[in-house]
Amino acid sequence: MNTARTATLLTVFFAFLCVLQVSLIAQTLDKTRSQLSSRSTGAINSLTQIDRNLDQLMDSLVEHRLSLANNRQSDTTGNYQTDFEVFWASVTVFNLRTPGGTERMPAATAVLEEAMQFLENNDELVNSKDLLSEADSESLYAETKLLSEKFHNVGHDYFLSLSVFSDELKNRTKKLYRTFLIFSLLVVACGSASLYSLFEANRKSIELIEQSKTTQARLTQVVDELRSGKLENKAKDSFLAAASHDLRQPLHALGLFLGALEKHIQPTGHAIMEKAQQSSSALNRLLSSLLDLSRLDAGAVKVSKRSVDIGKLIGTLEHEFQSTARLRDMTLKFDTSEQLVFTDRILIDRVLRNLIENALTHSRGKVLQVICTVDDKMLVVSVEDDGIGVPSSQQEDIFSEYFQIGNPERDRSKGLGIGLSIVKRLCDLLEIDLKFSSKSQSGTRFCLSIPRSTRPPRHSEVTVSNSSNEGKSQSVLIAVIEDEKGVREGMEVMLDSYGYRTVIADSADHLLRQLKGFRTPPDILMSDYRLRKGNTGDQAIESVKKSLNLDIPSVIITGDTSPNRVKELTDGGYRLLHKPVEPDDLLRVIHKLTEATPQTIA
Amino acid sequence: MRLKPGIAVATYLTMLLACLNWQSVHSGELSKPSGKVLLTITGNIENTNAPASVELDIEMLEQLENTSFVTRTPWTEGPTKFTGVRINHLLEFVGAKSSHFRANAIDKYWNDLTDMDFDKIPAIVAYKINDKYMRVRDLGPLWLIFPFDDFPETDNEKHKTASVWQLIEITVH
Repeated sequence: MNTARTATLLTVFFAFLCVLQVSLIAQTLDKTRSQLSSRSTGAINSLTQIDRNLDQLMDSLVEHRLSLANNRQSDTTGNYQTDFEVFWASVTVFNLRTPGGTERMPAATAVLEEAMQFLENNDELVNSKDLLSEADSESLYAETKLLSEKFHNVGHDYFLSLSVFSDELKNRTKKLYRTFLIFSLLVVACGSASLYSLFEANRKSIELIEQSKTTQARLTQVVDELRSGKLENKAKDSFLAAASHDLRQPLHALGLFLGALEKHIQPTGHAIMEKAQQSSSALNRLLSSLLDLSRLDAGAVKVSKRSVDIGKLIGTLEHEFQSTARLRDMTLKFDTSEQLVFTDRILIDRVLRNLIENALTHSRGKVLQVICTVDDKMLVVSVEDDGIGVPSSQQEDIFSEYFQIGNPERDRSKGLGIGLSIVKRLCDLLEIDLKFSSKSQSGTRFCLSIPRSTRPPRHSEVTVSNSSNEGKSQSVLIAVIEDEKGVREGMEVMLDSYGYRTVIADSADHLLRQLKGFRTPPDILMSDYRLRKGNTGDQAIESVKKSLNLDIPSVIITGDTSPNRVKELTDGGYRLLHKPVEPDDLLRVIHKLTEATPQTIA
Repeated sequence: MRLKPGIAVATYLTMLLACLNWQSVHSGELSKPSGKVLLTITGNIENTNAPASVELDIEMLEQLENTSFVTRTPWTEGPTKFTGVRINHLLEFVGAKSSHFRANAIDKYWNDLTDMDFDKIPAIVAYKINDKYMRVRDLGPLWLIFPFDDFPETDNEKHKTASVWQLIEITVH
């Protein structure tokens, strides 16, 4: 703002200077012009001409007198008449051409008047038919000579005044030149200064515009977040993440104990055991779905698209959900014909799984269909039921978190109501167009438009066999760092029951001390994330690796589901397991790690 | 039959005149002036009526096609009408081989007129000012003058110094 004002002031000052200088120059120029026009070269030329013409007249008069004296006629006898006329003409012209000049020089006016008098007086005498007598010509000569001297004097005065004027003109030109020079310098200085401040002002305004744009964008973002309730959800998420950590710890231990207990249970207790395990799994699922949401929010889910045979995938799902469907009295009609699409196999599986689960749990219908339709470059997969549908007043809300229809009593065996919001987020992530249509009491339909693919899928998906290799597991040494006694013992019992050798410790130092009793280093390092004295699992693992000078595949088990922590650890290259870990998941990870790394550590 | 000597002489003179006339047509001989010679044209010309020159009196000038215009000049008061013969007509009349010439005045003033387009600018040798013949004291009897008002490109010192008054002789280069 300051520079803008400076620019304006400078410009005004600059304009004022321009006007001042131009008017000064114009004044001087005008004065010079008028002086020059009144002292033209024409005037001095006329004077010279008059002078010469008078001389000519005098010569002719002398010649005339001579010819009279010699008493002979010659060609030049009447010349004085012509010369008299020529003199007359030059006097007339001088009179006309020096109107201003005569005013300044009274002498010139006087002599001109005198000359006119002379011409008029002698007109008759000179132009008479008879030639001049000797006496007349002599007196005329004398008069002419007197006039000639006077004109000569006027010419001299005129010359002197001209020389004075010439000096004045030179001085003025010099002054004009100097003024012009200073003026030019001022113009350049002022011009560049105002130009600079203009640029400066422009730059500042551009900066301001950018700042305001940024502010606006930030405001829009905040307003959007407020409007969509994202801020609220963020708070909710972090609360849930923190709360679930405390739930996970005992749940984790419970799962491990149940897994270990299974082998020792009497056949009569199997039914109860199964119920206990089911409850434990249900609890796990609930917490896992919460975790999934956290992971999605943290952007920790990586998409890797490739050619997928969705028919085969649907076939697997049909097989898996068959028993659940039977329990709910529903018939599955799944279209399992081969269809290639370009998407992420694991995530699309998750999407379909959630949609199918959702229909089985909530629709209360009789038939659940999964139909594939080809639409140009897209494959439309629709999941359709004939259940209670969604009232139109609630259709907008079905993708919101923690929303459930017909579950006002919050029956948690039906989930938390975040399945569809996960579907929505996954579809956004996969760039799949998700359409939803429903009519109350006549069913619901979800349509997914997935880009088709022409390339055949790679058959590299390894299915992990659940049957553990006893011989192999025997040689695998697993080191576990866990500070909580219950969990530590649960892990030891569980891993032992599957035939792994274990080293259990409550800290990195403790583990290193224990490892001295073994001839081989551990094949897998496992650690809880939160250890005693504020230590963390990744620190513990790093220090063990450093002490052994080996890169050992590591797993971190954490109850902390906060998106930031998940992302941080995933980025750090650790395999992450979330509490409570189901024994099956733990075994699968161990299998994967021992297969991936050849047994070079011997 | 006897021939009367008067008739014989008349016939002879007629034949001689006819002969001369024929000769003048074919050798560029122009008729001679009868009055006072006002203008003499010499130099690089084809036609003559005197030794190596053309002499013109007022009668001959007036017989040529005349042109007139009104203009203001530094040497006259107010708009003035000039009547005379266009320079290009005059040069054509004398069979000038160039349009560059020197104009001489009675008062010994002279000016070389070169690089002037007389086909475009109707400069004239004026013999009348405001429909009256000029005396020498009126800057006459002939005045080479330009139409300063009608052709502003002539309103400068170059054309003003070329406006020769008291014109008496033209020498074609």
